[in-house]
Amino acid sequence: MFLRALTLLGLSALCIYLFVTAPPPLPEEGKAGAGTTIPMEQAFAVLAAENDEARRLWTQEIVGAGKKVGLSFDEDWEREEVEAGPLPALFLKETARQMQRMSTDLTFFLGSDAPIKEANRFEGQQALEFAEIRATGEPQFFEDTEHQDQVAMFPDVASAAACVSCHNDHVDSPRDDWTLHEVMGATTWTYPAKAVSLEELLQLTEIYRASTRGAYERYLEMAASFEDPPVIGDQWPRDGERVLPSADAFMEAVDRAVSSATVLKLFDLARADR
Amino acid sequence: MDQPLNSGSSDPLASAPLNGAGEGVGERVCRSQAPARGLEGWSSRKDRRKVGYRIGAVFGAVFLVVFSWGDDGQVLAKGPANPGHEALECADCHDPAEGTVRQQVQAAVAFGLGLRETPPAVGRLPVSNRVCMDCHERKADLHPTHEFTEPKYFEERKEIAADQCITCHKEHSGRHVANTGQFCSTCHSDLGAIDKPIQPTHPELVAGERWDTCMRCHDYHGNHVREAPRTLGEAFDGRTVLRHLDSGAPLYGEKREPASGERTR
Repeated sequence: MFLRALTLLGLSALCIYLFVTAPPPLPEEGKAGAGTTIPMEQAFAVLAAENDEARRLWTQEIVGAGKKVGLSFDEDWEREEVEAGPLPALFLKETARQMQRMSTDLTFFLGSDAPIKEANRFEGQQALEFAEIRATGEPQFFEDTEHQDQVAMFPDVASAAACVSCHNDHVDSPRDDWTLHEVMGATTWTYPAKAVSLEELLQLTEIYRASTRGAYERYLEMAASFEDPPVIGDQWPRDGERVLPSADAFMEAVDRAVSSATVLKLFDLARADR
Repeated sequence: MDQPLNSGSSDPLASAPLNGAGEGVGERVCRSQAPARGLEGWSSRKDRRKVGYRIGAVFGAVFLVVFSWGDDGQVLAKGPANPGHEALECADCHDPAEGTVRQQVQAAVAFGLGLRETPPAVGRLPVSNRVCMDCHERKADLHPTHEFTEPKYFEERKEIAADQCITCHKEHSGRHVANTGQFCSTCHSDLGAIDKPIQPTHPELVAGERWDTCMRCHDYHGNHVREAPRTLGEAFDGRTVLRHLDSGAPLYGEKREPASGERTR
């Protein structure tokens, strides 16, 4: 009898401990917090738009203009003996690597159905979704049910003549008939949640930007070790000299180019959730 | 003076009540001798309850001792540290889980009752790639873990979870690499198409399923200066490779880019 009473007392105390005087529950991973809830498709679209601008800036303002003032960009840019920066696809790959260093489940990749490197060829569901992108030009979304990951694929378009000529001329390229503005591949984004809060989306955007900055800083670090290092400061290669913008200047330009659209999109998403 | 429990020629247990309801010498004998009689002697509810309490008390005591042992880690560690990790403290890799113990228990109970979709981390967080990369980050890696999280590697991840450092570098195994390094077939079984001037050729090695030879020439992470040899004769022998996987003994020579926190052997 005594033992039963003791057991009952213990269970009651446990229930009070766990539920009645409970502290705030732990946030659940993969579930949006309180406040505005943004479907992951929309969140991916915000991130992809940020990436488009950073990529455009790198391709046109650093690679395109940089080549005209004597800077080199090479697929072997990571080799110590090569004094060059990453080609656009490799800059994106470096951004993805920088993202891995942070505590985030957000990942992104660049692939194609006709890649220069075979490892970048789409397979399985990604190949099917990319066929749809090629046909419609529209981004595609699906769920990796096994890993509970939300997946988005956004078209990657040949935005500069250099994209086309480089891929057409490359010895390992399976195609030599790429044309300007053609969909050459797609970025694939994954995140293990169906929705995020506004704050979480801001954090993901911050993570993306920090990754872009990390990739650019790595290039600057390597450029500083060139035998004839370019001057790093406020000037851009378009100014006609063999110079590079500092990381702050580069990220400011990204900021100027995309922040207005990002903020407007966030307002739209907040309104749509009300 | 107490009566001797086993005095006399007759077995006192034979006459002692076994249901626990009796009093006096017979009952004392029954309880004190119970372990010698196996489970039959514990058939009464009271006895079983007592045994249960004692087991609970022992487990409780062990639990308290283990968790109040401090941060030495020798008691809780699943096994010996991997080569090079001997000096690490538990907390160097095992970050504390989010929230207080009470919040964690609460979330675990909520998960058990179906009030929460995902189980919380209790005590410490699982060791993630980021923890490994705090010391072992490589700017150039031939097989960076994050690339294997791409959806197209779904089937490969089921076979070998190359998206996690700990799949190969399983900690507390006392080994540098906790497998035999013959997993290349998962992704590279189409190497037959690669035509490089080596002997034997890649197609021949693939046809012969010589997956034991890959690491004799190639460094998985590609973080060593050494170039791959052109013949298997110039390559390391299998035993040397296995010794390297086991002990972490240097194999491929100078590292291309030692990370800041990584010890150069």
